[in-house]
Amino acid sequence: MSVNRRRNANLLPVAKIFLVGMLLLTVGGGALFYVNAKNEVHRNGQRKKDLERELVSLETKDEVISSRIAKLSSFEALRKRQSQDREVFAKLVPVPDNLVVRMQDSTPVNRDDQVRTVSNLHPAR
Amino acid sequence: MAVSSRKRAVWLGACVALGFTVFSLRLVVLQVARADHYRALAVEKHSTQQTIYARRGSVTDVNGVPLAANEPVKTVVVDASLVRRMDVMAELLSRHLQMPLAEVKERLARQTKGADGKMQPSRYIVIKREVPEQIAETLREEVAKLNLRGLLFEQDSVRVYPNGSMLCHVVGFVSRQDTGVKGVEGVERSMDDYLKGHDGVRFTERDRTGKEMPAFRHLERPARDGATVKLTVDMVLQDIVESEMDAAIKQFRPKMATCILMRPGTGEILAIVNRPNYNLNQREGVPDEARKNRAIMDMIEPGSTFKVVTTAAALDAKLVRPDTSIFCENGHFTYGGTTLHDSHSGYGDLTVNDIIVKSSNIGVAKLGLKLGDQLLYEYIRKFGFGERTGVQLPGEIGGIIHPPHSWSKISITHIPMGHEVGATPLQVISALCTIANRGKLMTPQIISSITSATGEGIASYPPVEVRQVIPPEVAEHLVNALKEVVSKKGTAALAHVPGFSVAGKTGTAQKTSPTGGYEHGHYVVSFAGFFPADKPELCGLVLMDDPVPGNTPNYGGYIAAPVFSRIGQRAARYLNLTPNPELLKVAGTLAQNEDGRRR
Repeated sequence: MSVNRRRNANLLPVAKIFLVGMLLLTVGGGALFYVNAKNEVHRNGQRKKDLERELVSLETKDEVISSRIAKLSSFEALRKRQSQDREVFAKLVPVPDNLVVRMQDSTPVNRDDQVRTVSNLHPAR
Repeated sequence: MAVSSRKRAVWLGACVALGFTVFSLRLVVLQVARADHYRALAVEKHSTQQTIYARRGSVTDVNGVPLAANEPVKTVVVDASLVRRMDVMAELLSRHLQMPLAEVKERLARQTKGADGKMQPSRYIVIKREVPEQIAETLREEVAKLNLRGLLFEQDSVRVYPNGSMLCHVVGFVSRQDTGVKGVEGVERSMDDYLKGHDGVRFTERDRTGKEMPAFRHLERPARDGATVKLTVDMVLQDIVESEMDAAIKQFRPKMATCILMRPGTGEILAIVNRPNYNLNQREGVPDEARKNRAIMDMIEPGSTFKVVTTAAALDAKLVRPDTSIFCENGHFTYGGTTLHDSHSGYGDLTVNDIIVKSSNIGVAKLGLKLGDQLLYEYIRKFGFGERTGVQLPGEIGGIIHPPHSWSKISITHIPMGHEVGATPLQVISALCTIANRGKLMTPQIISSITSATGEGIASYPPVEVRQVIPPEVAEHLVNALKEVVSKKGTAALAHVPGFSVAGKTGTAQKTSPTGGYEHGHYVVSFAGFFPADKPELCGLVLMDDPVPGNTPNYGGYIAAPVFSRIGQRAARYLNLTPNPELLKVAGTLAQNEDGRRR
């Protein structure tokens, strides 16, 4: 076998292999990136949906609680409580008009220690 | 014969080319010729349109107290095709949803015809609607524990009215219809366009198992929740009026009763009570009569409260002055073949002022005669009778005031004292508010403002002046006369509010009979008044239809006026109106004298 022929047979097309390798890597990497990106899109979508669900659930809980507060603090509920807990509410006696101290329009004061105008229209005796 | 390799290559090439051509043709058919069809199929299979439901807005009083709100609930649905342990599922649903086991089993066994024409388990069975969130949550946990499949929970909501029967005729209610939830009565109906909101829409795609792929959402229009409607009504005042009216109803047992509180300067309605009433949360079996908002739908003959209108007209037309003397025929006045009577023993000469104070029928009839048909009619219309007030509530009637050409000969003596006139209680109080407001007629308002779900103002309702009915000087004369009505001299001494000067007018009208004429012994008694008379903050009307008076005289001054007084005292305290010290002293002295007499 001649020297020239051996040289030809052992010659590796490094540049070509590198080119093909790079091409495969690029295509493979691109494909993997694409798959990963697509998965990420799906994961984000799912996360978005989970967050939406959580938000709806929180809003629902808030609405349920608001509705319960409204029911429990309604005038009708207070009236019922008033009739049931007589012992508690019996102590709530309306203040007669002659025992009410009414604040008249106070004159503006500049200092804290200045006397403000108040008037007791019908003082208690 | 051996085929040359060249020929084989040609054949092979031809076959491959043919194959490609066939595939290409098929591709052209799929992608071009039938592209629309397949696109539509794909869209149908994968794309879906979701409705994003808008929340209905709430109704609140002037201070933000909720009067109508939403309560989230769940609709329990079963996909029977996914259920493997039907008995366990049925028992679970029956126990948690408080339903008979047989009924649940019957529902779960429902079948529908599939695409292949065969009967198969239904994929959408509604087991129960309006299931409270707490029960749904417990059920969901147990289903997860038992690893059962096929149970779905759909979000829904119900309208709740925390105050039950309070203000029921104003708030109204909603009903579920095919097109969604719709307001049926009250503010729920009149403000439905604002309250209902607008559903949103989302176009999205599903995978082959039917699961949504949120990453492939397309167009999305978010839902616009309904607005919050704020009323002018103050629930504290409403509570005061309701409790006082209930006490009066317990005592006098009228067939119906109405009470309205208004702010004369602005026309705002602060409280409105009608009896009979009903609970907004339990509407089944409620009679129509109880659902009627009598303040705007009931027509009454206003009786003596109407004398204010006639007197105002006579004063404004300068036919009389407050001190003009009118002979009241000593209690018997025959006109057009009919005799008019005055209460008590009748009166001789009365000034125009005293005609109001003593509520003389004959005196006011003579004022009507001085005015004449046309002028009297014009003034009645100017005060707002015979037309809707324009309050933002559905079903308001305009009342009846016939034009002069259809009056009988005696109409001119009867209309001035509030007979032959059909008016709603709201029209009556509006007319009195006109006097209190020094001649300005205001449109009654029940809506204060409308705010979007995000808190932006959509609409506000400033006071609307309809017209200046009479000049302020004439109104002032009437206020002075009406102040005397609520004195020892007048017919409504019991309407006084300690510490405040009260002006008002009583009304005691015989009930009209459905068969014509009047019912003997049956009356509509009323009192309409305002205070403080010189700078009115509150105007109120108390009206009772056919009360059973017992030992109390059956007059507005004895039945309706004390209710007004009690409401006035409590309302003044709540609104922090400063009493006049002098009047408070007088009231204190009167109270002491009263105590002394009792002892």
